[in-house]
Amino acid sequence: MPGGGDGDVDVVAVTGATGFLGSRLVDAFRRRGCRVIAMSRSSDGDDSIPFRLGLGVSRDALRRGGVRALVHCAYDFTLTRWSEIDRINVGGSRLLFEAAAAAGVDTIVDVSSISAFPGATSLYGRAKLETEDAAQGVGAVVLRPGLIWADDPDTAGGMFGALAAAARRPILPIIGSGRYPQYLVHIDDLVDVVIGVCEGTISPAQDPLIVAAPAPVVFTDLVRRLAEPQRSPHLVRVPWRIVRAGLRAAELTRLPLGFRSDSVTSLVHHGPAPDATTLARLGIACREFLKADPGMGMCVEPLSAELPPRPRIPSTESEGADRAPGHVSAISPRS
Amino acid sequence: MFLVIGSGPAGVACSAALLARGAQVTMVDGGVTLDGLRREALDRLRRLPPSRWTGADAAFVKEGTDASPAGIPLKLAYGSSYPYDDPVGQPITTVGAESKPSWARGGLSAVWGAAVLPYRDEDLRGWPISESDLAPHYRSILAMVPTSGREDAIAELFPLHTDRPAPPRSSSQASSLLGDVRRNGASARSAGMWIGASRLAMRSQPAAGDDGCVQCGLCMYGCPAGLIYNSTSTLEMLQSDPRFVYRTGLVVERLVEEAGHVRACARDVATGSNDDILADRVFVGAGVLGSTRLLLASLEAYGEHVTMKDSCYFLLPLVRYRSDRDAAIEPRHTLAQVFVELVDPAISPHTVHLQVYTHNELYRMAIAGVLGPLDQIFGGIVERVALSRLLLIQGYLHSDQSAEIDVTLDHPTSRAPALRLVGRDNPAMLPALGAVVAKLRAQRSILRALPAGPLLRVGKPGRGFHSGGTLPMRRHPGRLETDTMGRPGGTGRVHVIDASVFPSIPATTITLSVMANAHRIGTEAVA
Repeated sequence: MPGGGDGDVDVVAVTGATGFLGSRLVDAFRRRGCRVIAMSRSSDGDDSIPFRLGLGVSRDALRRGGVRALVHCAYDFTLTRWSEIDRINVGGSRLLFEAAAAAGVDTIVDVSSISAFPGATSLYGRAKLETEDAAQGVGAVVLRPGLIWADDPDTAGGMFGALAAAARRPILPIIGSGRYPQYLVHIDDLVDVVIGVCEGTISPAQDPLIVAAPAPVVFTDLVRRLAEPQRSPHLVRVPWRIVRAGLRAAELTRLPLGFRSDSVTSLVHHGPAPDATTLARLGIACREFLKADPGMGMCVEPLSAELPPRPRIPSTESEGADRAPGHVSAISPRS
Repeated sequence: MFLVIGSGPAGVACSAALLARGAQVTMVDGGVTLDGLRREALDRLRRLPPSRWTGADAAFVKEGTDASPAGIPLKLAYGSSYPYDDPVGQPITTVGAESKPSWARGGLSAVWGAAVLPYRDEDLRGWPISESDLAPHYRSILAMVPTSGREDAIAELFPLHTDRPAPPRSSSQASSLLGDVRRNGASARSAGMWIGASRLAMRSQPAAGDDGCVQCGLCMYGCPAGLIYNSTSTLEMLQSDPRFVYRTGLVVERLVEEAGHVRACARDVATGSNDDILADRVFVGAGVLGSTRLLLASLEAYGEHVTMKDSCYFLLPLVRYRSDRDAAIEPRHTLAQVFVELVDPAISPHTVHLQVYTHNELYRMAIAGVLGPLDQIFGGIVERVALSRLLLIQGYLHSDQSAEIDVTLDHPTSRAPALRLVGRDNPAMLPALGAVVAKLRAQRSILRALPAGPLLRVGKPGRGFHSGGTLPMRRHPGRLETDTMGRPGGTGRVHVIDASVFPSIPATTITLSVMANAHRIGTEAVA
């Protein structure tokens, strides 16, 4: 752990600790013997610090907790207006980073998103991009995970969980052609990367690090795979602007649909492909969604026929034949 | 010898810390005090038990105070403006701002609202020190300053920092409001509202030799019994220490660092003569405007802009569903009765501080002013229907969401240079105020009250006297900034100890933190 090695219990603070990624991180850090401080609205017990995105953060609380590393996963998805998103998600993250830096936290990890890229049109992508600026201002490591997936879609959260639920419906409106690429990262791979950064075994360059398997998955294939073992839903293609307008109308009338209009923008306007060379140089390889679990069934057509050519992914040591199919451990086990 | 400039809260707090460390301290101040006639009248009043006060006895206390729907005018002390009187003629021009320095003995503590809360670390963004650096000094200050308060919801956010707060004496309107809130305590917290009894620097309970607060309702004019904390009481205590020298009637106009000491160039208020004082160190607690003027002149920063941060001050009526027929006649104090702390990212990243005032005769005065001659006919009805339900919120925003004031000291000519104050809007202020009103409206079932949003009145920048930050503390200070010991860049023996060094002004009350920080600097300067 950062600055560790002297036998002290290392302390990691995690925001968004009850979320899809945050809860997995908490479990993983605890398994490695770390003391994890959940930063959340409730402040029960010694292992928590009151935190609400958009409010100031106590440097004293971080110092008192002996926090050595901070992983920022929290994001308020309930907000739909840019002014609120900017003030609470971006401004709140800035307050957090500044407090952590002032408290002398050694390692700060900003879990951003692959949706954050220059020119991003989704509010989520813009917010994440601006949050990255704030993070880099205090020397934080910025990770841009792709769409996070898990072996059991039923227990997954986030966008993946929402897609998994939608895929079980008999009819599924598909946004536009549905042939746009999605870059995915298995949650365990992402957790390993975060741990590696906190432990200092992974030292990314100053630029944000995209963490995702280099091979994209076409959206419709993703949905079909998620529908298994049931019958695939009947896909009804709808122009994405109409879908987004419908979701937006639902948001304005406060109708809970479980899918945000801004996510449509994120899906359609995807960012650059992961830079596999960077990942490989850092010794990171992410398992691929379509190869991960033979039990998931259907074989989908190769993507190369569907998508524009991508830069060839150079072979890496981590692609050795002795590894389990589709799963490459990214991080060396802790010694 | 250490020289302390100013006898206000910062000056006495710093002096107490210096003396506790064994230092020799000389304090100087402008020394303006209540005029002789009013002093005599006040002494007469104090000799009488409150039950024997007649309207005529107390009339002088209320002189000059008027109220209108536009708000309460500048607060006077016992009918006198002496806390703001300028004995030496140091000009100030203001545009879009409203702030006043004080040369009074005790500074502005003669007219403050006595509300005392510490700062939360969450509100100290950009400060090179944190709440834990101030915490021991809060305790030291509250050992000197009598406090009323309670271990309630407010204490969950703001530690009491004292083991012996006197229980507050709440009016019936305040008790009723707190009772309603208590029944919905969990809902209030989950809504981001922490509500409890006010915390005041006053002696509310009887003590040896007096009856404590007799709830005469004259607090807004100046406590006839002198129970609201005024730093002159600490000054009197300091004067009993043989190592403490108090020289009044001196205004320091310039500081010059020389080999091994500081020369304070002072002017005698009575004679106009110059009086240079040599000190090992100087601690400047002349109030934000006084200290800023002195430092800008000493650093020859004429014509250079500094920014005065301000905590936006606003008034908002709150109408309770339930009337309280005794509100106008019951004995009560008329300082803030209830504190409401809003912690809601939809409003502000920082705490929004609301002080709730219950019935006050100034409200009746304001309504009479509106009704004019019709007051004879409708005044009684208005009193029964409206005033028995009316509460007044005096609120504050963090300076990040408040207007600022550009401060410049003119180049010196034959006259004393003018200090120019120009208010500068903050686009974040009005949305935040709107969100405060919306929040209170949304939580009406907890408060059992509705805010009268259209009657919201916002004070000009500086009006609430919660200002500072002209020489902000920084980890690596520039020329017109200070280090964590309040030393402006380029100086080594001059410490600014008042709110001038605060990098921002949290919404919660300023004076306790000014005193704690001054005490911290005084303590560490002799460490």
